[in-house]
Amino acid sequence: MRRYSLVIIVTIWIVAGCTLQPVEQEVGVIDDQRIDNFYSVEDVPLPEGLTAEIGGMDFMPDGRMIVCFHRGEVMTYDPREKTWELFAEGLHDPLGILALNNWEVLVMQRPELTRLVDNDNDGEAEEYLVATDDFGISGNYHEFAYGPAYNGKDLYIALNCASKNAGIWDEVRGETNMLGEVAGMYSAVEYRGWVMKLREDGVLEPVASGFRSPDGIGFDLEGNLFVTDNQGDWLGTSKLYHIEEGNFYGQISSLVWREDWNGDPEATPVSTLDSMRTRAAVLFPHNIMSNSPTQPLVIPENSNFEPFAGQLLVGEMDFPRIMRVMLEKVNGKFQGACTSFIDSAGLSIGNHRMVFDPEGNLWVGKSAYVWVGDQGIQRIRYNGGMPMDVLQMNVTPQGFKLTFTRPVDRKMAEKPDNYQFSRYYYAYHQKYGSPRMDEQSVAVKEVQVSEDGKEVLLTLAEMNPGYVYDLQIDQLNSMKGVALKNRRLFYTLNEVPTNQTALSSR
Amino acid sequence: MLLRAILSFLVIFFSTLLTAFAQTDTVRITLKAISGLQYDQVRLSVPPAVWVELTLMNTDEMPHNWIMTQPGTREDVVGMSLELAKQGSTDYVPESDKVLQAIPLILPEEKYTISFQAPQQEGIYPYVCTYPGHGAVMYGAMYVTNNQLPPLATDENVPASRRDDENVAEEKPPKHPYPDILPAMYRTFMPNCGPAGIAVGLLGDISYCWDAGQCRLRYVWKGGFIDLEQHWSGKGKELAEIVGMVFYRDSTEFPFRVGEDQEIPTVEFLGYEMKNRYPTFKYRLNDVEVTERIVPAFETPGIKRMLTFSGLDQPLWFIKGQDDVLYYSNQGEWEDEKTLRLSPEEAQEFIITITENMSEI
Repeated sequence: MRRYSLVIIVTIWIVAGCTLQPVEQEVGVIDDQRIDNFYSVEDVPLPEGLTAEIGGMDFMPDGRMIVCFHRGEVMTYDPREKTWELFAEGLHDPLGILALNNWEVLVMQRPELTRLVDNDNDGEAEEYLVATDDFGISGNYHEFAYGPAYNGKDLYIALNCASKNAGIWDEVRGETNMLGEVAGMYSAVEYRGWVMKLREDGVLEPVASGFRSPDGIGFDLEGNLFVTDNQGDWLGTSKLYHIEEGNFYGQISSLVWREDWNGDPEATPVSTLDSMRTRAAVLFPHNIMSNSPTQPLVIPENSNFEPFAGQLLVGEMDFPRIMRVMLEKVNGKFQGACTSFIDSAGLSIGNHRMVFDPEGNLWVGKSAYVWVGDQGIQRIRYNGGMPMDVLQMNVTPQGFKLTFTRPVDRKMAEKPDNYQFSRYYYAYHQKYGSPRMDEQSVAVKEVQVSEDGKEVLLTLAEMNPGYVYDLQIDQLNSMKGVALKNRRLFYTLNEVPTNQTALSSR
Repeated sequence: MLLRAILSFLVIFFSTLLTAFAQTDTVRITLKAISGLQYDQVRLSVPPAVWVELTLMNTDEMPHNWIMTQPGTREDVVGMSLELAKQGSTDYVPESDKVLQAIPLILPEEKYTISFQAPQQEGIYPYVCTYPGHGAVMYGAMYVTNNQLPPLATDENVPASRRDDENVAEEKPPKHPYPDILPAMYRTFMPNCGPAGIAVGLLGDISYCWDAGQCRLRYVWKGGFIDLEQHWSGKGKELAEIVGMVFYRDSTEFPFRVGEDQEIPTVEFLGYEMKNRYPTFKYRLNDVEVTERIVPAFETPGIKRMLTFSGLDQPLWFIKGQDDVLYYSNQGEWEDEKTLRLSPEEAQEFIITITENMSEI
């Protein structure tokens, strides 16, 4: 599911009192925000005897939340009565759930996508039916399965690669190809490291390759599919990909299952592999932003999390953080920025699965396995008021345009020194992770603030595609004196637009 | 009138005397039925002819009773109880000279007290739960003696699993937010199986491994279910651990063949339906839809495979998977030592019983 993280550092950091004050310079240096004025975090009561490591959560139309857990339980929670009921049991490591109605759910477990049906409406499923098991499993413990993400038509699942820390069994399910057993994470059975589509007619077909540990799959409001992947071999840092059919996303082992490719992944030059791959829409800088991103969840129109509707939230395992992703299309491709949505403020680590309830509150399920993480479920409520935050970060030919949720304090906003940019890239190589490469600061040459005070146009000394632009805003308040909530943003600059972007005259 | 008054006096006098006597000379025992088909104490010791007040508390999640038998007759009494069960009785206390004392079936969280005088004759008097399936493992021994008991480690009168343990099995943290009861089913990583394994634990501590990848029963064991602690507490690398002893393993390439060509059918797993905590597996062999429900064969350790094949237009063959167990089918004919042939009609619904061959042990 994930890979090694900086366990020791995080441990020290927890022992040091759970603040975001970093022990090592880099870790978690976003903001020391232990209190959030706009959102409150509360723990959800859980039944006794439950090992509350959450693999998936969703809401049924009748308002019950349905949750699957590490030890194979599927339970419903009635938020009004605060009662838990058992819906199903005995599943193998379920890591995703989708409620179809009040009596049917789909659960992604290791060996299959399973449809659970409560035929007699007694709150407990009687039928456990195979929705699909047309993918390989080798018995390697690291072959987790994620999803399903549903666009109203097809279901999408993501299949983890195997770990080099274990082999494959003598008996496997599905075809094997040992060319897929590359150094690092490997794909010895078919469609490991792939995103798959289960069509309405029941056929499971491969969609896109090149994934390592894609523990997050979800759609935005327009029906675009996004998948997160975790830092490791062939991933210099963790990423968010926009998924398009036929594309290859970089981790090489899955290539052996591509019908239009007959090569040996390990014998193929890195430059060739690099030219084949589709770059991530957003990079999550390791140790600073995220060590282990999880589910991408779109903020719905009707939630209390205005004005961020349509943007993606992404869970984070190692930090007490949920991230927010702002995307835009440049030259026809998605790219954009990530920042924190909520940091600490009562939120624990291990943020694995998320779902919005019908009232628009966000529920967060925790997980750990043996990696860094936690147990339990937390609910995040909106307390009202408009947080002072960056609503959108857009690229321009000469720099970036920041749009704020509230008009800025013009005096503070106009100072170029207030915006500290550095830029760097991550190497594409077999080695595990990558340091920040060619890291340099970039001067802000000019700042323009729009008439309504909501937009700030920054002109930079240089714009280099292929780099992450890391922005630290030092001091910035709204016109009415509310401090900027999240002051660090990371823009993944794959493409630089050619059209001039002007400030709106609002 | 006077006579009656005197009699009443005498009755009250003697009963008071008797109560006083009994109170000083009664052995009070509280025995618990605990999870894992066991009593918390597997040995009790009382002097001959003493009065015993025995309370059975059921702290388990299923019903249990308690029967004390004549020495050496525990298995006979268990057998008689099974006969009662087969006749449809829900009272598992046989009418027999071999039954000395009995506490009837009590439900979870109930308790029941009886008083009786211990036998005059010194000896080892077995006690056992005769609820179907429990008798083979849920028993102990009442020593009627004034002497010390023999070492527990070599005591043949208590279940083997309890000979290293004077008291109760160690309290473990709960596995789930609900009681840990049998039958139970887990999809998990099983040893000697494909990676889409299924473990089912049945009453009577009979368990089996079914392979959802190959659509077949792989093996059956007795004496316990599985231990998933290692599998759960790691990342899933450690397999489920089998508790007990495998006594049946299907060593065929595939146990069913459809039609004259005897080719190994292609399989497709469709899922399963849970009823009373037992799964009924549904799968396809070529185009034939199969259902399979496995229940314990209570007589001797073993299973009954309840099978239906619908849509067959050719004969079906079943091939024995292991020689040293006993097979019985209620349909079809054995063509030879290893092969059972069923007509499409016979295969619509049949039961294959596979039990341990006790005579060979």
